[in-house]
Amino acid sequence: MRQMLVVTICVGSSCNLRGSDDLAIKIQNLIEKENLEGMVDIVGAFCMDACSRGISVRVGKRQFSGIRPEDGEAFFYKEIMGYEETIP
Amino acid sequence: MRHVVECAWKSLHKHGEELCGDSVIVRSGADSFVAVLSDGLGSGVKANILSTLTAEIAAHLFDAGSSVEDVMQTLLETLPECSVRKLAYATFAVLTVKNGCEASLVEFDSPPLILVRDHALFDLPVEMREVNGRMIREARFDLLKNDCMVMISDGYEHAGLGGIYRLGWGWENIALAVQRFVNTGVDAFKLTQALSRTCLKLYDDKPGDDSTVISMRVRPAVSVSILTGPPANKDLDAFAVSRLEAAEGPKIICGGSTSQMAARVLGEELQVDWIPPKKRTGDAPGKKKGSPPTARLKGMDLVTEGILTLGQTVELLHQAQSVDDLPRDADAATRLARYLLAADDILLIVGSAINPNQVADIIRGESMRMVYIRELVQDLKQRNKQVTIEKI
Repeated sequence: MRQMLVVTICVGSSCNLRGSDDLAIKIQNLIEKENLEGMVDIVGAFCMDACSRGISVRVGKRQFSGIRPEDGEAFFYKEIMGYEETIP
Repeated sequence: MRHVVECAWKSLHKHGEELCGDSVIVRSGADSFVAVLSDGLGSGVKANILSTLTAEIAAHLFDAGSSVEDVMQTLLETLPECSVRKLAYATFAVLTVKNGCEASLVEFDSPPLILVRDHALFDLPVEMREVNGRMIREARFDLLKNDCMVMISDGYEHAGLGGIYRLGWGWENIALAVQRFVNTGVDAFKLTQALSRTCLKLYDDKPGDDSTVISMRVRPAVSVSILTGPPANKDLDAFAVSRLEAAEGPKIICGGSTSQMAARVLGEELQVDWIPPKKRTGDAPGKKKGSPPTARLKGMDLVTEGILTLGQTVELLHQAQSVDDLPRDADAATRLARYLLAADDILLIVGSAINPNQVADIIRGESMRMVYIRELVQDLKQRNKQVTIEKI
């Protein structure tokens, strides 16, 4: 049984304006669709000091920025579903 | 502890008139409070001008400590004479309160002030005196915590005239109504609403005279302290947080980076409340679209995001007269607005750091934050609140 994967999404001023809430909702829906509740958890953060580069998201230990809400699905399958394969 | 006079008022216009012949002036400073109600002769424009002049002059002169003789003399010489009645006349009642307790009342031809103390009507030590050929009622007394006072114009005494009451509502009955409302534990806003609604009903929705009520209640001042923006100099971070901790009343932080800075200084964890969409409906506090989430930090009563929340709070304040006018939401901006409207003394600790990622938001050399803070302060000061700004 692997550990709970924590996805941290910034909901501070800048990211909020860029639609981080929509992105979070999208990822939450995908977590439910893929039956990953209890394995992947969404947590909000206020600022991840990368505002100018677009919405900041941290998956486990890896940090991403510039994720657009419309890219949510691709991001989910690549970085969240595929998290275990990239980091052993 | 500082005591303040909580005050609310409402005027009903005489049916069919666009202007009100009653004028109200309420001013409160750090340790002084003055309320004036003036009722001009006649109704409409003429009455409006007479009462406005009277109220302005009386408020200004009494607040400056002038004698009753001086005020009456000034009024006599200033007021324009009514061409029909060959009279220059407007009634007035002036209540000044120093340091939240030393009250002094001057009334000229207006219904006496109603004072409710310890659930009972209290007889004021009134002295009658003739000044420049006019009878003046004067009283000096000390106010106690929870004292409730109501000033009315004669439109109230006449409410229901010829209808429900043969001779109008009458001072005695109004005083009794005030006493009953006060004993239900209402604040000045609710008391004003209740009296105003009753008066309108007695007039069958068509007031026969301008009717004004001013409700006042003595209570301890409520404080709230807000930290927004990290200091420009990082070395002052700890100072800014300790300043907030030492301040009075509920403690609020507005700003994402600011709250992270505070969490770092306090060595506590900052937990952001991101509510999943499914839990946003029903009894869970529904978050309005576009209203950024709040967070929790030990020792703080409210932690919000900065710019967007401040902007929304300013909008909410523009639309609300009192706490009761705010939407029943539990989102960041509404909660912040609720704290601000409930407070008398507001301390704003404003850090002047510029977020390097938001340099584009600088307007005429000022950050977005300062622009909103200025708007916020202007609104709060208009509500007679004591606002202190400390820039770090």
